[in-house]
Amino acid sequence: MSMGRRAHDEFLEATLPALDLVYNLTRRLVDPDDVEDVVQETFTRAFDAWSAGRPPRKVEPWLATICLNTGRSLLRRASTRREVSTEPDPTLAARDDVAGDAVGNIRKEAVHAALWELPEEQRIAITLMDLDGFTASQAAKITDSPRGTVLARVHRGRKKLARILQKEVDQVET
Amino acid sequence: MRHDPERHAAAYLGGLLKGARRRMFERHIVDCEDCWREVDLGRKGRSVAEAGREMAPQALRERVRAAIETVRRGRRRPRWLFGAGLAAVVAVAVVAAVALMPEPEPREIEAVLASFRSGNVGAPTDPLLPPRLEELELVRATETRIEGREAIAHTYVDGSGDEVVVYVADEEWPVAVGAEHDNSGETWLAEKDDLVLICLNQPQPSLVVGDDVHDVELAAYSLRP
Repeated sequence: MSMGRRAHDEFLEATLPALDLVYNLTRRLVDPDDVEDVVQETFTRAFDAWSAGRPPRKVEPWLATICLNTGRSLLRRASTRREVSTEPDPTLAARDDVAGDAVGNIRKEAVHAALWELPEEQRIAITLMDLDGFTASQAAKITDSPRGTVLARVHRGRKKLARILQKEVDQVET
Repeated sequence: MRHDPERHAAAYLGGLLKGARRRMFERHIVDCEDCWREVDLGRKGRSVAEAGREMAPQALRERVRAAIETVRRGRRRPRWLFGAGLAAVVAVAVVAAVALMPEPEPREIEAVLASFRSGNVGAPTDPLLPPRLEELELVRATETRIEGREAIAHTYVDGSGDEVVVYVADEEWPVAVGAEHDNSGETWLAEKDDLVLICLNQPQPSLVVGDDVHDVELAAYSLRP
C-alpha cells in the first residue's frame, strides 16, 4: 500500500530540520562507515510509525530515541567492540566555521576524536545535551536514565574533554 | 548538606539550582576553590563539546528524502548495507533465506500495535486497574477487540503527556517475535520499531505498550503481583 503524499510531505517538513541532530548523535554512536545507513534507517523507521497514524508530540526527542535504538541494534548485531577511526574527516575541514566563540577555532575533528575517548554513556549524554541541545530531563528520558545520572555523566565527560583538549583551549583563550 | 563540588557543579551547570539555592551557590563558589574549579572545567568542557557540532552533508539529506519517497511508493524498503562484501554474501544467502523465512508476528500482537498507534478509540468502560501506577495517571479505559478477543485498554499518561497503554484480557497473550523472557519465564519484553511491549500473565494477562521504555517498565513493574 502506498502512503499518501500529504503524510509524506508533513513527515519531511516536521523531521528533516532535525537531520543535523540525528547526524550528530549517530556520529557519536557508530562506526563512520555505518553513520549514513543508521541515519537513513532512523528516518525510515520514524516514517513507518508516522504513517501508521502515530506522529509524536515532540519530533526531536522521538527521533533521538529511534536513532539510539537503531544504532544500538546495529552494535548488538555486530557484537564486537568497534574500532572507530579518528582520522580527520575531509568533509569537516571546510566546515570549521564557528565564529565568535572562545573555542570556536578548535578543529571539529579534534573534538570528535576527543569525544570518542570518553566512555559511551558520557559521550552520548554530552552529545544529547551539548551538541543536540536537549535538556537534562529530555536526555534522561531518551536514554532511560535518572536525570541526576545524566548530569553526572555530562559533567564528568565535559571535564575529561576540557583536559584532553586543554592545550587547544588555552591557545584560543590567550 | 554534604559538600560535594562535582555534584553541585553538575546541578548548577545543568540549570537545576533555582532562585535562592542558585544565588547561594554562586556566592559559595567565589570562596571555594574546589567548586570554582569544577564549574570552570565544566564550562570549558561544554564550550569544547559545542564546538564539535556538525552539519549533515547535503548528500545525506537527499538520500533520506529518496529513502522516504521509496517507502511512500510502497516499494521494498531499502535495506541498510552494513560492511563491505555484502553483495558477495547475498548470492549465497538467498538459498538459506528461503529456508529461514522470518517467523510471522502473531496477529494479536500486530493488532495491539495498530490499536495503540490509532489511539485506542472505543467505548468507555470501568477500568480493571488502579487510577495511578506510580507517577502514571489513568486517563481512560475503553473496550476493544483484539483479533476476536475482548480486552480493556487502560490509557495512562506520564507527567509530560506521553501515553502508555495496558491491554488486559481474559486469555494469555501470544509471545511477540524476538521477545526476551525474564528469569521466571512469566514476563517478556519486545521492541517493535519505536514501541516497547512488556507482557505479564500474572495476576491477569496484561500487555503494556508505549514508546517510552521507562513508562512501560514503570507500569509493568507496578502491575506485578
